[in-house]
Amino acid sequence: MTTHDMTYPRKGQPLVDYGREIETEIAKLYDLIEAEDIRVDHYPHRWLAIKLLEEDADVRERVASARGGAELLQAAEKSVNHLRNIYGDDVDIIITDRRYGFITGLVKEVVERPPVTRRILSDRIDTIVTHRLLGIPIFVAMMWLLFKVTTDIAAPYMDWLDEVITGPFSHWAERFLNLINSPDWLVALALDGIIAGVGGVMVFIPLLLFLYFFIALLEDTGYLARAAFVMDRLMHRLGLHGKSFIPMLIGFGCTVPAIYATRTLESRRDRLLTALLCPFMSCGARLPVYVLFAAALFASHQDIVLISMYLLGVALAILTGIVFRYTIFRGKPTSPFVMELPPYRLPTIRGLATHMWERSSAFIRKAGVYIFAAAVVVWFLLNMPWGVDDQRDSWFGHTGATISHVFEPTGFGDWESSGALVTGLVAKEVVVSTMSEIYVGGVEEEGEEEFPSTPEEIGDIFEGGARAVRDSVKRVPALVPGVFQTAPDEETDLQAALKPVFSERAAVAFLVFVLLYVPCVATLAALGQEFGWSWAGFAAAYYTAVAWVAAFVVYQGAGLLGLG
Amino acid sequence: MLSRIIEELEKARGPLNLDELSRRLGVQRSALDGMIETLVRKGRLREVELGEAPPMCAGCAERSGCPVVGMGKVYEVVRT
Amino acid sequence: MAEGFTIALAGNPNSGKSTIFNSLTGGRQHVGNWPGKTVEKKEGIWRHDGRDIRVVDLPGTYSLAAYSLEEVIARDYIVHERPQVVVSVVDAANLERNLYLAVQILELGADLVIALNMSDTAESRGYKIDIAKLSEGLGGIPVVPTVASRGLGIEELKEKIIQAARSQPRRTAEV
Repeated sequence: MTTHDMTYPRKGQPLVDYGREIETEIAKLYDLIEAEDIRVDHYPHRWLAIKLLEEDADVRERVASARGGAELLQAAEKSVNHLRNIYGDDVDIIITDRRYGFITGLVKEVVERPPVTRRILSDRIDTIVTHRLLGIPIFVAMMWLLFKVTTDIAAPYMDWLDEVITGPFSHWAERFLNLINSPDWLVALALDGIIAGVGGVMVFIPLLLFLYFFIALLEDTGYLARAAFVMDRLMHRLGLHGKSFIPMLIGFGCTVPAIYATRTLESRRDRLLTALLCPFMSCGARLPVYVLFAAALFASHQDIVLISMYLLGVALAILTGIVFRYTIFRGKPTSPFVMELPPYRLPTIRGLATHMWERSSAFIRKAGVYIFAAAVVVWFLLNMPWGVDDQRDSWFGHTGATISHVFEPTGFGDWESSGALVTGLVAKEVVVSTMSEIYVGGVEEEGEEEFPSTPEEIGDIFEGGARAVRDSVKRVPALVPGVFQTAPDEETDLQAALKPVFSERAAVAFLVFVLLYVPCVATLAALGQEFGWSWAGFAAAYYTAVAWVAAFVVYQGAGLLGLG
Repeated sequence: MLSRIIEELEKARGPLNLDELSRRLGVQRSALDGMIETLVRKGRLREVELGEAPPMCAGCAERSGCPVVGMGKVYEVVRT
Repeated sequence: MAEGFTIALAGNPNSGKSTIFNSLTGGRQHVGNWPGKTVEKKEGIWRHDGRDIRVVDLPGTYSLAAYSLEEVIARDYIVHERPQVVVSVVDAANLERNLYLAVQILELGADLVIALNMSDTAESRGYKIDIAKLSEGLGGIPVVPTVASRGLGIEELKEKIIQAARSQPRRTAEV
């Protein structure tokens, strides 16, 4: 066979054999082209026939304007219909398939592939981290490590920031306000309301900085995409829509955009079901509440408390998903899909810093606007009717006390917690700021305190900062169990105040309730806007009911088992 | 090959990783990309819009940290 | 061999086509647009034995279906301008995908020479390609392993191109 023979594939000796059925039709068209001497530019006959079967638009156009072209097109159409009937698929798909089949076969013949063990490293990592059975435990372990490292390393900085805010910063604010002859109520609003409230949340900035740093690290290396992949497989097993994982992942950051992200799902049913599950993913706003209580009451097991909350949220989402699927949302199976995992890469400092900064600054902005506003309102409610002596007799106290009956069986039937849960509807960080206003801001100071001098305080700030860095660095080797023990964290005023109020089981029940009850008004608004207000109402009722039941089970269950 | 991609996807009952799929089919990854492109063009697979930002996302605090942004392409089987 | 014959370079994007084009033509290049299109057309002259051989760089494509302008340009050029030889630059490390285009060019009836480029990368990844078998599987067309970035295999490629051009009869009016 000479080269020349091959270059113009003729009938009978084509390069790619398209199978008997298709070859028969190619031959028919070929013969017609030859017999009628149809000339379409310089296209070889066989190629022209194949392209006509593929319904190539450009070729069809050219054929149409050629002499005898109409007849050829008609014949081609007949062949295409015939083949489509046989294969039940478009002919071009079959032809492409055969062409690939030929190439794959050829490549198998001529290429000696590396043995499977020589797979590149990233492939090997992928087989482990996206393993069917190991994938989820690895993901959970990663999350646990994330919380462990963050809480341990951030704690000294949080202590330091707390000292700075409650100490020098408050003193300076008070001095300044007195200097400009501010009325007493304004001083009280600033110190007991704003600084105690907003400051109580600001204390968590170091924690969030470290958390965002490590999340960015997981994300930039490409692991987070693998985690999403693993989680998604779980969702599928449970009969949820594959794409649901996207909004759910976003939900770990903030529930509101997560609900809007459900728009990527096609059917309203899938959208609604997914949106209803999103709030179970523990959003960033709930984290300060967990950390506050975990640090106050479970100093040595903070990481376990945190990861449990996240896992409980996921578990209840799954459970709810299953229940809804068999009750309100029956329906079709989901579409399978394939995804590309981004390559692993070394994260850059710049990339990490950008991620960290953007997220942290967003948190600070939120604290500056919503939490500030909430703190001011809560302060007024705590002091209404004007000049009320005991906070318990304030409007806030009365409302809290009324609601608190509901929470007696769940272990936190005091007016302070109930009130904080209500104000927490604005945003869950407000639970912390409210408690800070009550427990820290509300404490009557005995007599006039002697403040240390300003230079002394500035010195203290730096000294405390240096100590925080030292303690934090020391904790890194201590992360390996048994290397050496570090001193326990110092308690903030708020943590110390919570200790006598909450038993351990009440604290866990409270956190469970915070995790599960209506995330915030913005979430309800998003649900209402996307799915109508009756669904938003249903969701609010459902979440609150689930939250109460779960808290009840935790509190009473722990009681029965004799825990806490 | 093309039909086997869809078959494998249907069989997997869950998302598949493209690398994993290329191993299962015994096709090079780059060739698989080409085949998927063909399937997308033919409307058999659809690229899932991950980055499609709802209006609220524009001002979202978590947008930059949105885990979806770091994700590769996702394709799903189009059901007729 | 007719005087002043033309060869065309075809290949996937990133197959190393431009590097091969550069090593064939050296500095004798000229960039314009395809007639009536906004797609860039690169042409150059390869001087061989005192003769000028026109080298046309076809747009980088993965296929010859009519889905994109580039694909139509590439296939129209091969069909209408009938270059004596089409050189298909094939990335050895991504053989399967690259062959999809080469096979279509063969189906189009062109005289093909395959430059199996970046064969070093393929080797370092553990792929061993049997050149003779590949050539045979594609109907006996010449396959030349090259590492264009380091100038390896270019001389052999040139030789095969000339040989392919010589071995064919003029086929001007034939169809």
